[in-house]
Amino acid sequence: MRADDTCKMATWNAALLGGAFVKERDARFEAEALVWMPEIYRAAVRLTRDRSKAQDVTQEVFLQAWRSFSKFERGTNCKAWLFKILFHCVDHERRSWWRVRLFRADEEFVEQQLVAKPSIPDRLTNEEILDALDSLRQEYRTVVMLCDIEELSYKEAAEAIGVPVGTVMSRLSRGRAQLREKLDVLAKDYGIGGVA
Amino acid sequence: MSDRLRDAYNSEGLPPGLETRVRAGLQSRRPRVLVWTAAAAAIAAGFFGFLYVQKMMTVNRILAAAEPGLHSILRVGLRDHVYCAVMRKYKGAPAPVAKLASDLPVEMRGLAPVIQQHVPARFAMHVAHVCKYKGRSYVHVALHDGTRLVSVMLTRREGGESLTRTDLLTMTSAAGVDVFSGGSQGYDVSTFEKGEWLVFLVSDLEPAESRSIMLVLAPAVRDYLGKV
Repeated sequence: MRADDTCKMATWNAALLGGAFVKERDARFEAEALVWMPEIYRAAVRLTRDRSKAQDVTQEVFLQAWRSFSKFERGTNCKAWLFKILFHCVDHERRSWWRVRLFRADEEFVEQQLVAKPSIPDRLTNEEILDALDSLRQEYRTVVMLCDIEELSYKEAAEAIGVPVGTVMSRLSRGRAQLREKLDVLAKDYGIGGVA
Repeated sequence: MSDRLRDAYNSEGLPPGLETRVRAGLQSRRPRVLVWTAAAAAIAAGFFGFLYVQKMMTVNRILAAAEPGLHSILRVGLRDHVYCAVMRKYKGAPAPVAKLASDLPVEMRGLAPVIQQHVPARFAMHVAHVCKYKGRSYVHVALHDGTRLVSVMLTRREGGESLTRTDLLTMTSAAGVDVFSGGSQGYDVSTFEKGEWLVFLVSDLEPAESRSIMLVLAPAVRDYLGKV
């Protein structure tokens, strides 16, 4: 070991012992991770369908994020990273209940379908729209949440839930179609025609 | 669809108390993180401290064997060579001289290429920096040819150090520079003085080769120091 290495190491150690490292990490965590708490909570509510459980999961997500914050690659999307932890936490809690892959055989991407984004009649209430979202299969609901609501890229969503990008795209296509159908039925009940 | 869906989705607000609860949870973990961090730092400090002690024991052993055979003024050069150059590993291709020289004080950066030009071409520069041994600062350039090691060091005179009273040393002159030399335990040390500076060349080469390098190098280094 070189003499100057020894000096650098001693300085580093001194900084560590002084808590400067931890303080800097605190500040970064506050600025980069904690700001996404509402988004994580909302997603947790939709994933667990239980507000009390969603609060527990949210707390667990941020505790895990804090523990492994040194692994977070600076400059990448912290929200996507937190979603990845969220899915891990939910998955851990419920085992693999949302990873059922009934549609694996025909999950091919149909790009044209991803382009279509029909409107939702104004008369539908937030609760009705969320009920329709909640009624989607878990794997479809997840990608609709990540891509259409949280606006993650397909790649970020794929990394967050641990599936290939093509799978995200095909699930998104199916999720949107199913959501459209459900909202269409609701709209007809109101006598306002179908979802355009 | 997305905007309306997003509006509905975002209508779910953060419940009161959740943020406080999350922050409290994080706070309770922090002392533990600090303890682990401090423990890791202590282990690292202990490990590097152990390595440092090992290194100093080796340095002291080499110096204890070599110093008695050398004049006191030559020991000044030998000490930093053993401490900083001998205890270093020379692996891989060295960085370009200009890049190495950037670690030197501005006024000494031009010295690195001067040294590289006046040593045999087989020697590549691996180190150019300022280092300290027992409180004394050295401008240190280390060169290696794969098997042999040469250090060129400059240090300011201390406590009336002078080569004018070194009657025990072998003296050779080159282009008006008086170079004094001595050797012990396989180390050959040559030195000359220029103004406030003592300049050393220490190597594990044969004395004749080591001193001939110094005789080529000394006028160039003297001229450089004359301009600083």
